[in-house]
Amino acid sequence: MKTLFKLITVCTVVLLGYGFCQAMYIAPKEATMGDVQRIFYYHLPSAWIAFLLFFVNFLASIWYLIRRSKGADALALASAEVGVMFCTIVLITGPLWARPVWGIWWTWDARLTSTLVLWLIYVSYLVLRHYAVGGQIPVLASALAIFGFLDVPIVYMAIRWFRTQHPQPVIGGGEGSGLAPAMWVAVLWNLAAFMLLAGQYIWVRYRQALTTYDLEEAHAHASLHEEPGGAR
Amino acid sequence: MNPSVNIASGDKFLWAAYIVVWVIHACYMLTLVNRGKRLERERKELNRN
Repeated sequence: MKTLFKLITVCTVVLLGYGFCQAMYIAPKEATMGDVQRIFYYHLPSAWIAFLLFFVNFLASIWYLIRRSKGADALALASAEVGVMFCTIVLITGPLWARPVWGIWWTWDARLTSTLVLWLIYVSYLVLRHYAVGGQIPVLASALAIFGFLDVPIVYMAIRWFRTQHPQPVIGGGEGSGLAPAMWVAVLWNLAAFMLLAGQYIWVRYRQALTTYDLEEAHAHASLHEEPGGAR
Repeated sequence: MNPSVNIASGDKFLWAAYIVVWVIHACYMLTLVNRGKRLERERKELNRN
């Protein structure tokens, strides 16, 4: 397993390196925005991966509520944590792109606001998982995750439903939207690279969550079998 | 608010964005490594006891 992980790490590093070259040097310069548009090649894949991970979290939370499976709970936690990390990247790269192009860092339009709300929902999920105490925490967290996921389609559809400062979608955005084929190549390379990286994060975090459960169980077991006078 | 769009200054924003992305990833990797080490240490302590 370790060899496989190392092999995937090498593939990820190579893909990330090539994705960087594609984004910075190979993809054509955008006619209106110039080089700053290249932020898009990290912004868009990060957003898609965050959505995907929140979907995984949604499915794992449902699975946990049905089966009370430790694996499902560990997967839900891992996907939420990595999803928040990618969503943070989206929320930081967005304003860095907006400032030179729109002249403002932020505007309270539907896409940006719903993305910020999405981030806050999953940060609250992680805060709940980290700080709350009690056996029902995974159940409460699963319920929060299931209802929290409802914001993902709202974020995705916001630029279709509302008039926004944010540009129209690159897929199915109608006339005048879309990407040049050479730009798609850069998007897909970076998407593949970050997907692989996200997969590795999930794998490591999932294993750590399972180890934490095992340790908690072992501690509980040990304290049950402690001699009554042993703790004095 | 300055509505003028200064695309020429976009390069520093581009590099800032790429650097921020990799700083966030590096911080997260560091968090995973530290957590892994702590769990391993706890597991060893538990086995010793």
